[in-house]
Amino acid sequence: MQIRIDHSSARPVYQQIVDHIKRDIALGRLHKDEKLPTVRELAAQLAINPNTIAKAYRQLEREGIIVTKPGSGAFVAGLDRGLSMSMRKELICRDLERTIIEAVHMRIEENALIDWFNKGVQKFKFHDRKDE
Amino acid sequence: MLTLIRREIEDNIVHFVVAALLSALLVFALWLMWSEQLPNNDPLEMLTIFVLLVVLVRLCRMGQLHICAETSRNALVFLCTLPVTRTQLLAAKVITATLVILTFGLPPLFALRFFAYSQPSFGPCLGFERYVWDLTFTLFLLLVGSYCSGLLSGFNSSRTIRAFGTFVLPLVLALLVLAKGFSLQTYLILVLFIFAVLLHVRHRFAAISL
Amino acid sequence: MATGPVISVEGLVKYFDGRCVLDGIDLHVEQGCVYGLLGRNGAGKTTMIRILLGQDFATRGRTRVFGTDSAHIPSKVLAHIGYVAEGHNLIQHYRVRRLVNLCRKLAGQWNDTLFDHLAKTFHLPMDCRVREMSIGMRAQLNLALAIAVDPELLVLDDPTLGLDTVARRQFLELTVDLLQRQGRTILFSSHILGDVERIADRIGILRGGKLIVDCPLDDLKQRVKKLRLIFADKPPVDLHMTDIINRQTQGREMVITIANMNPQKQAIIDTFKPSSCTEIPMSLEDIFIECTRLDGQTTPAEIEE
Repeated sequence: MQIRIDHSSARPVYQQIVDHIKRDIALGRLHKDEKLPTVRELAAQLAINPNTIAKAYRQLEREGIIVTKPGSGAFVAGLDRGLSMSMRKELICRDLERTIIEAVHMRIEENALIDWFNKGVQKFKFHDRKDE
Repeated sequence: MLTLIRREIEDNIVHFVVAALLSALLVFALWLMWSEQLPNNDPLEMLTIFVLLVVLVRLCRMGQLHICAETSRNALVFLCTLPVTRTQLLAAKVITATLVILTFGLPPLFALRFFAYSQPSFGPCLGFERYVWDLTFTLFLLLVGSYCSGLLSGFNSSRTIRAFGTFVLPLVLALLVLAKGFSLQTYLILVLFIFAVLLHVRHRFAAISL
Repeated sequence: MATGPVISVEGLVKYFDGRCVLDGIDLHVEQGCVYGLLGRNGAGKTTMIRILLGQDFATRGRTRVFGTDSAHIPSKVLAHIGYVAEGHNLIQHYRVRRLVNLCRKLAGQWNDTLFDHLAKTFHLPMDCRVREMSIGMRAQLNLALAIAVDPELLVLDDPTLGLDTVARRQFLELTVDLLQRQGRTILFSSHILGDVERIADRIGILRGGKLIVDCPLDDLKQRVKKLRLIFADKPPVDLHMTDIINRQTQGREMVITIANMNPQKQAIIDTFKPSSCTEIPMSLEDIFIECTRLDGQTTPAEIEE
């Protein structure tokens, strides 16, 4: 698992790890019951404090995204459709809001923005995802 | 503790060698005296006294170096980060100094006894036995006292005062011995001096900032 | 090992030749914490660390390590402390092999396999004299000696001074490896803030003899914010709040750095009706520079938990 940590970001490191794992799961890069790297491995790989990794894993466990089995490690939990959807919604909406804020600062009109958004959507094929 | 002592011995090997050489010189001089190889014993007596003075000054200098030498200080700074106390470090130095003194003093002592007993006219009479013990004990205390005075003056940051101390302090002690002779009073004064100095040095050693 | 904070500093004051270097420092480091002590050169970091380990003595106040007074740390406790001193002087006239043997014999516990592994990784020359080695090599030797005793408390004073990039990363990985073992505490001071950012739990910043910052790293980043305010007209001159660390005005733009940011402060800013208010992300290095810069307009704010 390759995680890029941005130390200059205001977002705490453990939160960045949580985000990254959530994103990977949402994008299907991590499957259900797949084993995550241990705290040790990840700390050694990223050269950061193991406590930070542990904190990230604890948060993920609290949110029901992973399960830790003592002695075996951490595994991706079987997500129900609702949870997976809410995770994806969270990630996309965050990016959307960022764009909207930029537009407001640039004094773009609401109608123009929606128009551009629709044009952008038309450029890509959206699947009808019935699985998951 | 043994490790510390061994370390001090290794670092002070020069002093041991010099002590051994001077010791050998004394033994040789004693042999010459007793076997009456020379017509006049005066130059040999002068030599003996000279050697003793040299040893006194050297011991004082050794004491100073143990406290103030650059290499000693650097080693001290590092060693204090290891699980040893400053008292242990000081004790190792004092023990090593004692070993140097014994290296110097024991061979001539044994030689003296050997020569004395090999001469029937100087046979083991009570007076002579007592004389040799007094002499040994006083000299030993004098040598230790010299080293201790070196420890004391080593704390002084002025080089001139230290150089001054190297010659003056042992001389004062030697004059004391000459004045009072080999008596109980001399022992008492020397023992008290050594005791007081060691306590004071231990206290100061624990309080220097590295 | 005693319970309670591993390191405890109370009201520490230190004067050097009449100059006050430390002016009432209070600091506690709990077991398992990685504490990054930061400060500009001469701020007193090394002084504090030396007093903590009994190499120097406080003018006032007291410091304790593992519950014992710093001036009289028993050798049993010293055996659990690994120390990498500033400058990596070690014993200059010794050969490396002799130094290593000395440390091995005097240590309370010593991990031979670990030390040999480190010696190989760092390519330590065993038959060289310490004074002949470069500062980088000495740093690696110093580190290897400190880690080989498997310390409960590792105190590092500018440990990566003189290390090249690869060696610095190796050192970081070593430290992380040590942290993997439960309950290890690390106190370290460094100028490479990127490294501190990676492994520190808590940050302390020394400035003017005082600890102006003492809080968890994540908190620090939340609490110190740099805002770029753009106003329709000239920026207001009467924007006053507590804890404004820095303020710069240029044209219609005002950049302010605020410590202890909270919604109330945001509300105050909003009353001045800036046409835009964006946050400029700050790394630990940026925060450190803001906190320790000496401008006309800076006011030393205190950021404590």
